[in-house]
Amino acid sequence: LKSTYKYYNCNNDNLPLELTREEESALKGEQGEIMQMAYRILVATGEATDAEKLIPIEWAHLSGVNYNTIGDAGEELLSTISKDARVTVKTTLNPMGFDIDNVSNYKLDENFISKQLSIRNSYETMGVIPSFSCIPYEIFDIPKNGTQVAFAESNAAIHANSYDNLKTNKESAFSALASAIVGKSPYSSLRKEDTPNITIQMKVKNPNELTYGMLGFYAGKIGDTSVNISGLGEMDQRQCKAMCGGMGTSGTCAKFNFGEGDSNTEKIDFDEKEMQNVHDELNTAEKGDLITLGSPQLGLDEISDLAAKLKGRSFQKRCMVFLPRTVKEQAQKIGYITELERAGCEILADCCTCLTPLISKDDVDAVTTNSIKGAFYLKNSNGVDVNLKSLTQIVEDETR
Amino acid sequence: MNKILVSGKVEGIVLKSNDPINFLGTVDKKTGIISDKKHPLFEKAIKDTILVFPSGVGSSVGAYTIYSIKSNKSCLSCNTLLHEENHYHKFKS
Repeated sequence: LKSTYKYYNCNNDNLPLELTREEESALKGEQGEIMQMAYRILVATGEATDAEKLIPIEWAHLSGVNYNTIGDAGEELLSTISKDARVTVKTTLNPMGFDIDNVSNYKLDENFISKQLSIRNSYETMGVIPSFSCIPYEIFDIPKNGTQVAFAESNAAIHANSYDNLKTNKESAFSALASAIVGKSPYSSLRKEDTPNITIQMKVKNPNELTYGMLGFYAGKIGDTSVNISGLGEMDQRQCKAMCGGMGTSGTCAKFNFGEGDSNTEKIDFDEKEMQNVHDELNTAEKGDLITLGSPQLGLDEISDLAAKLKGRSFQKRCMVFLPRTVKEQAQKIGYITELERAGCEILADCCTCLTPLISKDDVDAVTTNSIKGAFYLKNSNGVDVNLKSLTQIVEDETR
Repeated sequence: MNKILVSGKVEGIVLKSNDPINFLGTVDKKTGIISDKKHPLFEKAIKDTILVFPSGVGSSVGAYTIYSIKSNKSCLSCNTLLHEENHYHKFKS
């Protein structure tokens, strides 16, 4: 029942993407405009990545939620397509711009709030689970080894491939949305076998999460679709997330393979000098006016650890803590939230440091954070300076 | 090898970068001006150009930036990805 389809007038030398008759009919528009749009995205992505077919996926994770990032054009697009589009597989969602419970404490205008709520409404109408989290791998059950998923959030795609034994490419916001609607993705790149041609050897001693974030940022710059990485010691969840967040920010790479790789791979050291280069690129201030924790958002273990670190201490300046709503609810039951608020933390669910509209260069010159991902976007998008410190250092320097 | 992903004919000035672009946060979604001080195309507008670059990097939401600058009519005429030996003619508006 298969037919060979060639995309419009394209004349590719590689083997063409094979579509089933049903897929071909959807691409022609016989199953409506939404399906046609979704298939056009998947077919173009498949052609670009030399896919030979589309394969079913079991879970899509979407980005493109924060009004601060997608703007009016994105809000209008989602509003329009949500009239007809429905997701056909389990689909979860990235953070939005604020926490509705405390949005009035921040200087966001009515337009921002109403546009953000419209975006939320569009996704819910399409059947998306309103998780508003960039750490789906920590708050949802992980499917069985080798399951094909389509994760747009870059840190989540890397975490899924590297730590959760799932298979995804580094999806764009639109390819993941198309996959959520169709329930399929192009079978290419990291969805098949991958053999990295670069091995990064970790040479920095006594690393903390900031070191791993910089290692990830460095790896993302030199890797293509995946890299081998060796010399890593035991890592906690905070450090793993930092490494995934760093890599997702700087490159196209979407997987760490742990180990030396074979003898043919090019070996590159990540040493003190390389680390200093990344640090110099992202650290632009000696101190911050406020602190942000969470990019990626903090999970329950990190919240528990933070509460323990803050026992008997209080922040001397504002400290924004970003986490998924489900984690906030669990942490509330255990009493962590009361403890963090006592220590002066502002607890923010459903949103994240990354591209936050809650920090403006009109009010803030510099932000202290332990997130490399957060640092990059705070500097480039929010336009504020960044002071990088590990969490341990932050607690030592900024609390009494 | 040339790959045509979306076909069409355009004319325009080529704006070429050997460095990849993170469209989220470093390209203005209304004006299409590149705001990353460290990027070779810093302060250049991609409007009405044929943008030639190795790849996008970083955030998946960069796709919305490209969509947004198209909606604001500040968009590039054509987008060509130079990727190793492959030339992808990816996108036309």
